[in-house]
Amino acid sequence: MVEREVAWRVFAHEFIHSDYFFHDGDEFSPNYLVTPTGARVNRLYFVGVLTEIDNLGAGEDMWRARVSDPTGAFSVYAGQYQPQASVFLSGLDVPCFVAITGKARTYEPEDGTIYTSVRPEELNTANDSIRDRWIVDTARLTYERIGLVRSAMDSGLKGDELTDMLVQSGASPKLANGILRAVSHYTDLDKYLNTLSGVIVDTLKNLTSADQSPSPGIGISHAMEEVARSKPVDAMVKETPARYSIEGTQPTQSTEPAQPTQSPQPARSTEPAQPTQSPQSAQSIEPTQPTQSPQPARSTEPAQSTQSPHIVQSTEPENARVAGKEIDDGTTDSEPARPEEDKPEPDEMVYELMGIMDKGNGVPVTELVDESKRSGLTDEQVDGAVKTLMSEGRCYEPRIGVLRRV
Amino acid sequence: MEVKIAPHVDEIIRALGTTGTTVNQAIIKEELTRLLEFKVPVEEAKRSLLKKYGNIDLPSVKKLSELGAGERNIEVTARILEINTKVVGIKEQERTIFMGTMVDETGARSFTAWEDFGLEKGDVVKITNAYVRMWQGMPEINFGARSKVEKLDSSALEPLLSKDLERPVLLAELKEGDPAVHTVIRIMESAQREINTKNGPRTIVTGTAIDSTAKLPFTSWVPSPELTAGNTVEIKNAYMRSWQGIPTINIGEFTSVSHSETPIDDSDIAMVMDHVPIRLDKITDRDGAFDVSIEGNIISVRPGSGLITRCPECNRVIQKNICRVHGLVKGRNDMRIKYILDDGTGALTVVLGADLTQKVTGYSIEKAREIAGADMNLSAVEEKIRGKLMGLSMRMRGNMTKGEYGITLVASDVEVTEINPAAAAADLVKEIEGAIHHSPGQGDSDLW
Repeated sequence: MVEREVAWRVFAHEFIHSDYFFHDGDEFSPNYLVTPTGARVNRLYFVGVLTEIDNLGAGEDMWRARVSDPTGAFSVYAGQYQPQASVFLSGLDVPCFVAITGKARTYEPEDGTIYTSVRPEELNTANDSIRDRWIVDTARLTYERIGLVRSAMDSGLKGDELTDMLVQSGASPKLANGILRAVSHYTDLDKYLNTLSGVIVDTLKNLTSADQSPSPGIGISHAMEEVARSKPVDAMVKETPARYSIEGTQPTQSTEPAQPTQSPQPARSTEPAQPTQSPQSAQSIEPTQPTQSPQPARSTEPAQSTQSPHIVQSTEPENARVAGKEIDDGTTDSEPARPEEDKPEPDEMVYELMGIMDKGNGVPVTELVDESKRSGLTDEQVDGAVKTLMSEGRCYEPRIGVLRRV
Repeated sequence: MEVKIAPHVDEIIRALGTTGTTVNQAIIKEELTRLLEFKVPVEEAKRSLLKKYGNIDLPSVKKLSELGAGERNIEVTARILEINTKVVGIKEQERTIFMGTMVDETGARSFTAWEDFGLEKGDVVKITNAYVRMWQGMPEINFGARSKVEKLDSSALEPLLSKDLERPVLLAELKEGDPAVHTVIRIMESAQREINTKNGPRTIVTGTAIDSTAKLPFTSWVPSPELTAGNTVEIKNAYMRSWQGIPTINIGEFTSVSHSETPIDDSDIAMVMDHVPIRLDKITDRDGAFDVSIEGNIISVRPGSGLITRCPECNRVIQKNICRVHGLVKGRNDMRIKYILDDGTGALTVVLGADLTQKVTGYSIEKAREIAGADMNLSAVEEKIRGKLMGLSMRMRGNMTKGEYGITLVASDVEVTEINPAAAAADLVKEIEGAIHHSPGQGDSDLW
C-alpha cells in the first residue's frame, strides 16, 4: 500500500518563497517542495480567488491561472494531461472563488531562480466562507510549523536527535524531516519566519474586521500578489515589504468593500495595482508571453459584458457556490451551452469524453460515438479524432471495439 | 576490522570435539579467516564451519521482536510473565501443555511448551531449539521434547522489563497482535452472545470499552461479572486481535479482569464521548480505529461515487447489469460517495452509504436517477456531487481500517461544519501575539 501524499496547507506567500525541490530514490519516487516552515509539499490544497485565466500558446492546450490568497498568488498550469482542469478553468469568469487540490511543480529558468506552480488534480468553485475557513486552518497549521522550526533552530540539535525532539513536540515524522531540510537549506530563516508570522497576523486581523464585508479581499489580494511576485525569490529574506504592502493595501479593502451588485467593479479595482508590478518578473515567469500582464485584463473584460453566466455569478458573490454550480454544470456536462469559439477541437472533446466515460475498463466505441454526437460532433469527426488520438499514442484499443486513454 | 581469530577457532574445535569429530586446526583457521575476509559476520562464519565439519546446527539467537513465522532452531532468552496449564487432546490422549507469555527487552510473545519444564512465573529462561508458529495471527514460540530449557539467574535480564509491562497502556496505543495487554477500561456496553464453535455453542461477552484516548470493542471468551456497563476494570494479560479490521481486546481464559480501584470518570472520557475530532496524522498511524471522529476538507471526490448498480445476489457493484459472479442480473440502484478527506496533516478515504449521501447532497436515489437521465449517464451524477462537495469542511464518525487500498473510514454519521472565521481568526491572533509576548527575544520587535 502506497501512502497517499497529504495535501499541505501553505499560504501563497510561503509557496512562492520556496525554492528547495528534492526527490529521493528512483525516478518513480515523488518530488517534494520543501517550504521555509518545513512543509514537505508534494500535494497541496488551497482556496483563493481566480484572478487571471489565459490560454497559452496556439496549438497546445495549456491553461494558466492565477489564484490569489490574501498573502500572494499561486500559479496554476493545466495542460493536455489535465483535460478536466482545463475545461473547468476555461469555463470560469474572473474573479471567483476556487478550491484546488494539486501537485507542487517548479520552473527553473536559466538564471538560477526557481518559480513554483501548481498542477491541478481537482478543482471546484468555492465561496467566501470556504475560503475564510481555509485561511484560518492554514494560518493555524503554518503557525504551528513556524513554532517547530523555531524550536529546531533554538535547540542546537542535529540529525536524529532533532527529529526525535520535533516528533516529541507533536510534528509528524514527515514534517520533522521537512524541518530538518528547511533549517539546513534556507538562509536567514529567522527573518523570513518573522515576515511570515507578520503576514499571517495581518491576514487574520483582516478576517476579523472583514466580518461585514460580503466578499473580502478580491482587490487587495490581487494587488498583494503582484508585489509578492515581483520579489526575486533568492532575496526573500531581505524582504519585509511584502508585509507592509499588505498594510498598505488594507485601506483599499475597508474603504471599498466589494459590492455584490457591481460586477465589473472588482475587475476594475485590480487594474490600478498592475502598474506596481515589475514587468520583468511577469516576463520571466511566463516566457511564452512576455506581454502577458495587460492581456488578461483586455481579454476578460469584454467577455464579462457579454457572457451571461458571469452576471449570474458576480451578482451573488456571497452565494458564489450556488452560482458556481451553474457555471460548473455548463462546463462539464453540457458542451453545447458554451460559446461556439470556446468549443475544443473534436480530438480533444473525444479524448475528454473517453476519460469521463471510462469507468475502468475502457469505453465501447459505439457509446463513445453516441456520446460525441450528443455533444454536436459528426460521425466523421469522431472517426477522425479516434484515428488521430491512436496515431498520437494517446489512446489504444485494449479489446476490439473498446477504446481507452493511455 | 580486526577479529581475534584464535578463541573462535578453539571454540569451533571444542564444539566439533563433542561430536567426536577432529579437524586440523590450521584448516579451520584458514577457512574462518577467509570467511571473515568476505565480511561474513563471525557468528555466521562459525555456524557454517560447524555445519560443514560436524553437521552441527547452531541455533540462531533471536530477540522476541525479531521472530517470524516458520523459524526453526532458535535460541531466546526471556522472562516468563505468565504461565498456565491447559489440557488438550492429542491423538486421543489427554496431555497437559503450558501456555503463557514471555518478555525480553524487545517485546512480549506468547508461547506454548509441549512438555513440563517446571517453569514458573518470573523465571528467566534460555530456550534453545525452539521454533515459531503462527497462532492467532502472531508468531508464537513453541518448544518441546527436543528443546533445551535452562533456567538462568533472574538478574540475567533487566528487572525493569516486566515492570514496564505492569504499566497499563492507553487504548489508543494498542496495536494489533499485542500479547500480554495490560489496560484499564470503562465498560460502555456489554452483552452476552451465543455463538457456535466447532465444539458446540458457547457464550461470549462482547461490548465496547473506553478510556481517555479511544473506544475499542472487546470480546471475552469467558463470562466475567465485572464486564458490566459502567464498571471500570483493570485487565491483565489480554491480547489484541483484529476483527473486521478493528483492533479488538480479547479476554481469554488466562486474562485477569478485576475491579479497578480508581474509576474512570465521565470527565476523563469527555473528549472521546463528545466526539472531539482527532487530527489525521495522529490517527493514520494506528492499525485501525473504532468509532472515531475526524474533520477535514473533501479534497477529492473519487470515481465511482454517485449512483451505482449492485448485484441483487451478492451486492457487488456491477456495470451494465452484468455481475462477474452471477452473470446477467437485474441490478439494484444504490448511492455512495467515496472521497478523500484531508486536514493538512493526514489523508484517508471516506465512504458514505446511500443515507449519508442523501444527507450531504440532498439527492435521493430517485433524484440521482433523474440527473442521470434516460440514458443513465452516471458521470453526470458524479460531477454534480463533486461540484457540491469538493472543498467543503466536514466532520464524520466511523470505523477506520487499513488495507490494500489504503486507509478507509466507513462513516456512520457526517455533517458539514461551519465555523465563525472572524472569531476563529481573532482567537488565533490572540494566541500568536500571546506567545510572542511570553517569549521575549524571539523575533525582531519592530516586525510586530
